[in-house]
Amino acid sequence: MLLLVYGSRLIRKPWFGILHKILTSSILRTQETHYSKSCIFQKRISLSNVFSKSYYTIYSNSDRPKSLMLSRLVLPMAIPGVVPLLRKREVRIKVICATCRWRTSLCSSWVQWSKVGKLGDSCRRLSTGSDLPKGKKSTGKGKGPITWKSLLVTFGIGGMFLMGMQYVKNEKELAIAKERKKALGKASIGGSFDLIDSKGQPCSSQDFHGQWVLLYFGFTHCPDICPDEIEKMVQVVEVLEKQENASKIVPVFITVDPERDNVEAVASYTKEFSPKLIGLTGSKEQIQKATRAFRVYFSAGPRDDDDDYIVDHTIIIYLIDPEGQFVDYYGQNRTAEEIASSIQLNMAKYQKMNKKSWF
Amino acid sequence: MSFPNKEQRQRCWNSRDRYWECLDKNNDDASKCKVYRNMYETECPSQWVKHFDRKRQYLQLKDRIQNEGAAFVKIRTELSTQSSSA
Repeated sequence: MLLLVYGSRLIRKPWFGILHKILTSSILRTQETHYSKSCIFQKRISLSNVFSKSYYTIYSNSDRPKSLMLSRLVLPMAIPGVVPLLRKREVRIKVICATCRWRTSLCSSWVQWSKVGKLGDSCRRLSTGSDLPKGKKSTGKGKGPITWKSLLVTFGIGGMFLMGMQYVKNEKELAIAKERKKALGKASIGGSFDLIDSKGQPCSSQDFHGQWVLLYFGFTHCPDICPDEIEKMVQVVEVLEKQENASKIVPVFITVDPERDNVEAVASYTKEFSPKLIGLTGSKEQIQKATRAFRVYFSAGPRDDDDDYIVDHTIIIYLIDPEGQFVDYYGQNRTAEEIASSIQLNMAKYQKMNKKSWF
Repeated sequence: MSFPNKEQRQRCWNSRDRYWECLDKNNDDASKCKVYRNMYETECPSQWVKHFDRKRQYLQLKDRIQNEGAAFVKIRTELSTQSSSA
């Protein structure tokens, strides 16, 4: 077991000083010097020599002639009970050396080891040779200004700085994007509606908040376009459900033919396409309010002998975000794949805009 | 009056497609496709028949514009306005 013995004071940092004091005060008593600059080196001393003496005093031949003594270390052998535990024949002593900040190897060569007979003796300079094992005069390893610690600190601070920069940059971009959305984004399409769902329960636009909505206006007697578009809408939802990063999205059908499309008709009509498809109907006024919000045109054509008629209407699929805001629209010419990828793009944009800040 | 369900819709569309196919083959001579026309009219609601007839006219016009160019539109503006309302 090697015992590290700390001498003098460490780097002049408050936490380091406290840590050092805690470490040393229990084992050693030190006399501290008052040098502001210091460096550390290590020396090994043969235990056989250590055992016989009560303590060592360490001298430094610093460039301040008047402050020769660095510190006096009382080695653990002075404490009863510690000695038997020391099985190894060597003790490593760590010495803080003054005024040679970067030249550790130089510093270590300056320091002289000396044996002192008993506690309280004044500092006497002795030659090194007699006490130290051969060839182990200095193990300072020539520490330069770049150490692992300093590298770590540099990268730590550098990394934090970079992350900070990145964060500020992202915040700025987000602010610009939000500003842009405010400036030109908000089309006066979309809005609230109060309708009736397939169970006859009232269903408003509020009920869809928190999820994405694909909205299509049509009617159950629609000859060809509505079934195609609803089919496409269901397909889009199925494609998106397979994507892991896509949010939940609901397809919604609102009739523009409230006269014929009652709750039952809409329910059975939507069920044919997908159980996920939500069909909404309502009174003429309710439907009018909803279509007006989405700028949907609809007009019933001339009636024939069977009182049958075709309703001409806008063929557009609307995309609504979880806050109930209109985001995008898709005409008849867009394929399901195109719509699905566009929705994914819009979802990603929305997530970026609404990402919670770190702090 | 209830709406045509999925099956009825499909049947109607199929009979319409057969009729249109016949017209394509016979250079739009409706007299040669009477059988298909009758089937088509029984499978589809009369409003749908009207709608699809207009649609065919419109599609044919669209086709001609695409193939023969815009010069054709100038001559036949009446027809194009009529058809686009479909």
